[in-house]
Amino acid sequence: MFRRFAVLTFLACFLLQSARPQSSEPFGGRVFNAQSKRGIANLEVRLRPPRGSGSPIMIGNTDQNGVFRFSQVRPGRYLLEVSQGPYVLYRAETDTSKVHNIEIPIERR
Amino acid sequence: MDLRMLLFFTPSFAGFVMVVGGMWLIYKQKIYIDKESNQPVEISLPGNFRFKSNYPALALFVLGFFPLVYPFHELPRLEEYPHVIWVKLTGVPNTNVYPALVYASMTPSPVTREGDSFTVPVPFIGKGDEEYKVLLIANEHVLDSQTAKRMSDGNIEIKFAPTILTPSEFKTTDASVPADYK
Repeated sequence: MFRRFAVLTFLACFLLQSARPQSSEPFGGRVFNAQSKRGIANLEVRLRPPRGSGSPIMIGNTDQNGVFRFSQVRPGRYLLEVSQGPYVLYRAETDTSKVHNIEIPIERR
Repeated sequence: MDLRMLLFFTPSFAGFVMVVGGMWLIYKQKIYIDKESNQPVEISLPGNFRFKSNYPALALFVLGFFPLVYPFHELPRLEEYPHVIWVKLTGVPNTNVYPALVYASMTPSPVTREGDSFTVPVPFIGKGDEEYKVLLIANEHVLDSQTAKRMSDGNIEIKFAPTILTPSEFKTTDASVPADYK
């Protein structure tokens, strides 16, 4: 009887642990001019999860210092894109479970 | 067998029945109603109109010829009539930006350099006066959108407004989107 109760308790704990949503963490960075090191404002920053992952696409903009921040990002792989209108200035894959802050240098023409 | 093909050849079959039936009526001499004179009956109508009783059989033969032949004449052009099935794209967008619009295109046409033309084959669904809205998109940014109706030749010509973007002062990346993210 006790053994059965212990097994059921263990299973319930295991299921509860599995069902708990993955905790979201902040992710941010700075986009700056590679030559002058000054931040670049008004760029669109997009965090795109792999297709079928279920995570939302996060879209934000850089402030006057070139800083962007997403307050709640599910840890995992994302495609990070920085664009100015239709021009894509930066595109690379990043893992937000390992990197929480990223520095992105952009070169002038 | 496609049900549409059955419908396509139904008039042909009706025409065949009319032609063969007309021939059979003529052959069986059903045109002769007056057995004594063995001549077609001639009917006079007010206004000096006259017709003979064999005319319906001849008319049946002539009128049946058109529906018999026309489907065979149009057969090579059947590929121009694609099989259109109504399919509804449904879903619930999960965003915090409203209002939003949902567009769909099966075969978007890439335009890679200046002067390139585009051709987007679309099924035309409607009675003929509906408008198609067409978007010009670069890197998921809508540069222009235009609406247009069908022209007399059946196609839709889109005239986008000239779009001139100030070139970015920064270098653009050549990195392509990895397969996992497409």
